[in-house]
Amino acid sequence: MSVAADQKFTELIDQSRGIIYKVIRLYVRNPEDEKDLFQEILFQAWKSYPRFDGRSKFSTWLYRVGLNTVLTFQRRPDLVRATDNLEPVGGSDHSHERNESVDALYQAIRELNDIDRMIVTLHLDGYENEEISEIAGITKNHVAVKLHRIKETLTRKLKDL
Amino acid sequence: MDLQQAWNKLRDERLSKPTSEALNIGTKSKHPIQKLKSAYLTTTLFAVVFLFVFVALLFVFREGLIQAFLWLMIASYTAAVMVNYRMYQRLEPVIPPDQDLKSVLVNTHVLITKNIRMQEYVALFIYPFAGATGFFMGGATASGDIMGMLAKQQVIIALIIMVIVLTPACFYLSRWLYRVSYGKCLNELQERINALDDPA
Repeated sequence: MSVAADQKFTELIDQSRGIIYKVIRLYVRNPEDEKDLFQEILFQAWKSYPRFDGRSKFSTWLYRVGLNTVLTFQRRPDLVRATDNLEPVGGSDHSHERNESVDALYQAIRELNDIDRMIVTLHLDGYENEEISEIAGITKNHVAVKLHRIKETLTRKLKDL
Repeated sequence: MDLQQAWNKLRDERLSKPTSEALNIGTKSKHPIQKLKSAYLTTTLFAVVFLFVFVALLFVFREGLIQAFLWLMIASYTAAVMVNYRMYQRLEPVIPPDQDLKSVLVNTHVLITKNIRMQEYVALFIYPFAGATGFFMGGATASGDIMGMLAKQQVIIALIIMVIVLTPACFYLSRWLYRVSYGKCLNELQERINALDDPA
């Protein structure tokens, strides 16, 4: 890559690095894997960047690179992280309830298999079923069926609180 | 709080937290395909070393039979060097982001599996000759007369037994080693392909 392209890539990554964090936080619990996957996603994105044609947004493209990377990467067994546990929550009962919902959702998403996790998080991030089917490589109907079932499971878990 | 609200809050408060890593675009990958690529380079280098050893042995053992087997080994290892180096050049550890996830998972799985199978079965033809060459060299060192040694029926039987035992033993040992190295990764990929195919 030329120096200018390299600079442009670094700028774009700087603006969208939250996507890499999100993918890592959703799929990885082992600190060693966090480090490896962060570098791996950057590496994959950097090597593939010359083929980025700008037809989609850079953030969408990076999301795709991140998911393709994390789901083909051999991860180490999960380690329970202190930050995954419920943190003591101060303030009103209402905010306590809100935090519990967030924690419960996080936990419930983490309990899904990798593919279901990807499908539901793309959906919650506002991707249409058609886009999800293109990213995942399965039919639109298949996505809809899966989403229906996953959302039912997640909603039930949130209601159980 | 509904699912979407909880997600927005989760995404903003939890998932956007930076990891400990600084932005550092490395040039090294730990991806399974990269590991496979490195394994090919290592195999190529080992094959080159063995080639030199076989050439050196040509000067040590002057018996015609041993020389013939050594030339056979040299030919096999030359082919192995070429094939492995070609594979090293062909393997590309970068996942095409313009492909859908299922294609990427399936292609990665097929690539690794085919590759391992190919190496296992090619090696299966080399083990008997490698074993026999070692056997002849051992015999030549011990008795000094390889043709006289081979005239004995017990020696021929020992050679046949050695080949029969050693070939499958090496085959299964290499298969086990491949399973240890790549089995977990292949299983993980297969699980994800199955999860994509699962209609529920």
